[in-house]
Amino acid sequence: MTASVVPPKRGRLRAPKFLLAGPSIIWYVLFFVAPIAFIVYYSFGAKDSTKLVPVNMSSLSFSNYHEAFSATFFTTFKATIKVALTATLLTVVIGFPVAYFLAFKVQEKWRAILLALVIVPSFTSFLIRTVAWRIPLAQNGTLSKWLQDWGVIGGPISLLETRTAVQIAIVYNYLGFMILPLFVALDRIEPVLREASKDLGAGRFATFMRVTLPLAGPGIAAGVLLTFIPMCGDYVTATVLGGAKGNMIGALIDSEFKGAQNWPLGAAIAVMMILAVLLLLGIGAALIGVVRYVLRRRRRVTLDAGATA
Amino acid sequence: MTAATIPGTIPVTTPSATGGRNRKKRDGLRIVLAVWCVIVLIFLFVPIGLVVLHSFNRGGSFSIWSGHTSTKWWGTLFKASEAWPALIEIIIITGIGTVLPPIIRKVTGWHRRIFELWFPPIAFLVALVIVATSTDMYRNVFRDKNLGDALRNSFLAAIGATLVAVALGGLSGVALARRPGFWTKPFILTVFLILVTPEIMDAIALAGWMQRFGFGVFNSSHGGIDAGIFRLWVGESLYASAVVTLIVRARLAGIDETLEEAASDLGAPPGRAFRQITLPLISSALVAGGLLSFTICLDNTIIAEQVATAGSSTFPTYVISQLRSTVKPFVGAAAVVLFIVTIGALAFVATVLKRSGDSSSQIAATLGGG
Amino acid sequence: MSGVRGSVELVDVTKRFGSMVAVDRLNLEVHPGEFLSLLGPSGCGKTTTLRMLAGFDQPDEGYIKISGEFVQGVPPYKRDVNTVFQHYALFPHMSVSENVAYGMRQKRVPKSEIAGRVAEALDMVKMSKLADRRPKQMSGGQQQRVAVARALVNRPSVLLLDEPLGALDRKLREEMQIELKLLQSQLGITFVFVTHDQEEAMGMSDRIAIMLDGHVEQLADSESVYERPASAFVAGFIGRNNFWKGTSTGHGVQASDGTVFVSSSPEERVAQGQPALAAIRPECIHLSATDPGSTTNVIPGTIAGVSHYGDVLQYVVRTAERDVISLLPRQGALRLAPGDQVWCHWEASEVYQFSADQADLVMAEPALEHI
Ligand SMILES: Nc1ncnc2c1ncn2[C@@H]1O[C@H](COP(=O)(O)OP(=O)(O)O)[C@@H](O)[C@H]1O
Ligand SMILES: [Mg+2]
Repeated sequence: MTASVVPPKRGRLRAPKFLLAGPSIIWYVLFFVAPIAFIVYYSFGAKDSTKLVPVNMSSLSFSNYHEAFSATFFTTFKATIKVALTATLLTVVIGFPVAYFLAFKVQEKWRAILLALVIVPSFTSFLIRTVAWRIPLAQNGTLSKWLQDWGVIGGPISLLETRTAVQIAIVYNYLGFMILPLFVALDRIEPVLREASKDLGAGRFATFMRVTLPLAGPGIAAGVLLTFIPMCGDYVTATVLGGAKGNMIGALIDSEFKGAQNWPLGAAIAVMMILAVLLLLGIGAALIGVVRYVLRRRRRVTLDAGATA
Repeated sequence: MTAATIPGTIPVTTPSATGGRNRKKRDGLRIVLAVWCVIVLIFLFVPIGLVVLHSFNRGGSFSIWSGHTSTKWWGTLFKASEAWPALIEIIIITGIGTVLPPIIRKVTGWHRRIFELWFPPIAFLVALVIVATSTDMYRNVFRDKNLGDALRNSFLAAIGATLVAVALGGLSGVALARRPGFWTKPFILTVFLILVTPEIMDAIALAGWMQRFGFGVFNSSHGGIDAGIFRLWVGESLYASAVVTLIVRARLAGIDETLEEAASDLGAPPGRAFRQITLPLISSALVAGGLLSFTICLDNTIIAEQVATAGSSTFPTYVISQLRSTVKPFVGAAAVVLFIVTIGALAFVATVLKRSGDSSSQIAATLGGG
Repeated sequence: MSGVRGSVELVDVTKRFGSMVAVDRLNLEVHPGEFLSLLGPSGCGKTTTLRMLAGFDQPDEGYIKISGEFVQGVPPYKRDVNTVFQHYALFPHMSVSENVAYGMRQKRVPKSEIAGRVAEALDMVKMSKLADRRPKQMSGGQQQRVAVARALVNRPSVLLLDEPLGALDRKLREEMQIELKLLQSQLGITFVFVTHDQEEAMGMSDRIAIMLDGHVEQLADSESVYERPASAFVAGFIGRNNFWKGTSTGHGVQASDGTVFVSSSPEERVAQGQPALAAIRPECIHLSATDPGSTTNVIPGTIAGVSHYGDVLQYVVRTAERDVISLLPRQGALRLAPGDQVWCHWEASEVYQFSADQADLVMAEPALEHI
């Protein structure tokens, strides 16, 4: 805009602007973009166990996608999405009050400690935390014993190797990663805006709905993205706790690649997974858009020309 | 003006004009939220507590509590005669690295923030390398050869990947904050994609890619380092470098570019301005991002599962292989050791960020992905 | 009750943050329809006082009445008070008209009425044209007007303004001062106006409460605080003053450098023999090139500096003890140059006498820094 007015600065690096990012660009193209492009490519091929890379690309077809839509795969697909959606919802429901408390209701000196207490378990080994759930969930495990002691259930239960186990552990594993972005989103809202709302006669609830939530919206969306997408591809949790009954799509991809050596099918499932995730996110974004549109319409104030003049 | 009714009621006890202490109104919502927060924190910590507890299980299974405590599985994990000297050696070297800069400052008055910042983590690395190479620590200390190798591979892979991540992320973070242009948007998009793409996708893609294109490193060992370790350096560096990039960018975005401009105004050529101004500014971000990368890489399971070779299986891979039979409590003990390393690294991250002026909220933002 | 609508009363109000006392037994009474300024240096507790009136903070001790009713424990959204915040605090996700409508929507005012009142309020602050803009797309002055409209449209009984003009440049600030004052007298709403700018307070207010360390030093109209400052602090804060420290002689002060100040004021402010301060405003200090031949109310020195301020000239006179500032109308002033020997002298009626309690406070600032 003002570029034409500003005289060129001397002594600044003017040579290609992205030079510093060059190594990263090469690295990412070489080890992220290209490999994933190849996966997409492989998904149209056929299995060929005789080769080092067990793929035959001589005739390209959609047959792997047909297979990915077969009943067994599709069931796992649906189950995965359901687990991930439920877990996202639960982590928001469980995590939001915590984030809200940390952002608005706790004294500064306590906040640092509480944040540390959220961060530490979230950053300790994901795998070990998952393995840890085998303890309470096992047959005769801690949870089963407690529930019997309290008389909630009659006999011993075993949740291990079920989808419930996976569901619980996924919520647990990602809770911290939901709380942190939610906290950051809430914490970035200037306190004075919430005060202004109350000053103008809005109670707690109205302030929350009309000021806090809309302003935290982008941060909440980021938190949802950062948890929902990895959840969809999560395979550690399903592998460690799910067994055959609790299988998730990530584990399926893994078994196609490592077990069955059927790379093209595994690749097709992976591509399908990404597409499904994108589709869901698209639907989610559209829903949010509609809600926002409706809310904005309700909020809109149309000034009639007479009064304005 | 319409005379609106004045809301508000006269309190039951009229405050005395002499200024009696007013009682604070209790905030019910706050109490409910506090209780909820405590419950959630307990939920977050219970499994970790269980891991620690069960590493002291006397019975033969990690998951079933025998009802008695015992340290025998810790004995199974470590050879005490080897472990203590190695641990002490590591602690001494790291300790020297930590206290040396402040002592030098006290004695000679000479001090550089960068020096104080980088010395402790470098000392830790040096300690690991010295101890590990001089005594073949991982095999001597850990009774289970496979576990020892797995831990060694984990550390080796994490260190290498972290170095790559810090180098790449540092450069691109600076580039993003200071040299924005047409490339910024696609680059940032790639970084976000790397952060959110399900790791299984990256993992299988890389595995296939490296199997096909070895580039002379990914399929053969060099200098005693297994080809699988090279693969892990690359695989684990992707996510880690994205994290470092965002942290560095955030740090620089908060600092006015006029600082660098002032330096060049005062006669510093670009290279020197970078070294004397920009580098000190971002070095806390680099240390924090590096340690964060280290903890993330140490724990990486999915990439390691897909990409590593037989000779480079890491601790997570080892644990997964153990799951096929009964997991022994010493695996829990090894996990506790890794917890301690992770918590140490996190504490250091927090200290570094705090000293560079971040509030607890900003630290949370850094860890929460910017 | 309608008679007291818009009155505000603070009695012995104290507010602490930890061990720090932000507001210290503050007493203040604001009349309905009055424009009252809270004036004081930064950190003296003005914002805290305002926040207690708005209901964001609760006093630890003492009580507050608004429109004759105790507001202890009444949350902000139930108080018939609105605030114009220091940095406006406009909602960034709403347009100007949505911002202005916000308060009425909370009170469930019918939609048809809202539109009319929003238009009226925006008209009042001359912002009708920008009704659909977002706050981020507006200048500071425009945001400021919207903030005023957003508060006033609710027809509060008291409007609280926290340094509302602080972020504006000088010309805009002066314009807004006039407009705000005009609005206030048209609407008859009580304004409690926080500022650290004494000229602003003097120009706009019916009365000024000058605050220091969490309490009110003096509450009076502009003329009184200027003519009859209640303390050395007020004398130094409102306008400028030259201070000397010394001992009270009853109706005067014997300064430590030997100068004798004699006051014609009938009241004896400091008991004889006690430490005291003498104060004389720069515009009351006359300069003459010859010795006036008096032993009191005169001090010799040399000119150290001359500055030109349009219609007035400022001289800095170096005397034995300290630099004295003299402001003289350009017309008829002696033409003095640095180095010239002069005698500063003044009328006995211009001598103020204060206790020496605030000596450190008022004498700490070197006079020159005030320029
Ligand atoms: N929330 C708070 N916590 C701690 N101290 C505070 C807080 N708010 C104000 N203070 C302190 O109280 C004193 C008065 O502050 P304030 O009312 O903002 O002053 P003013 O508006 O006159 O500049 C200051 O010293 C300030 O540091
Ligand atoms: Mg203030």
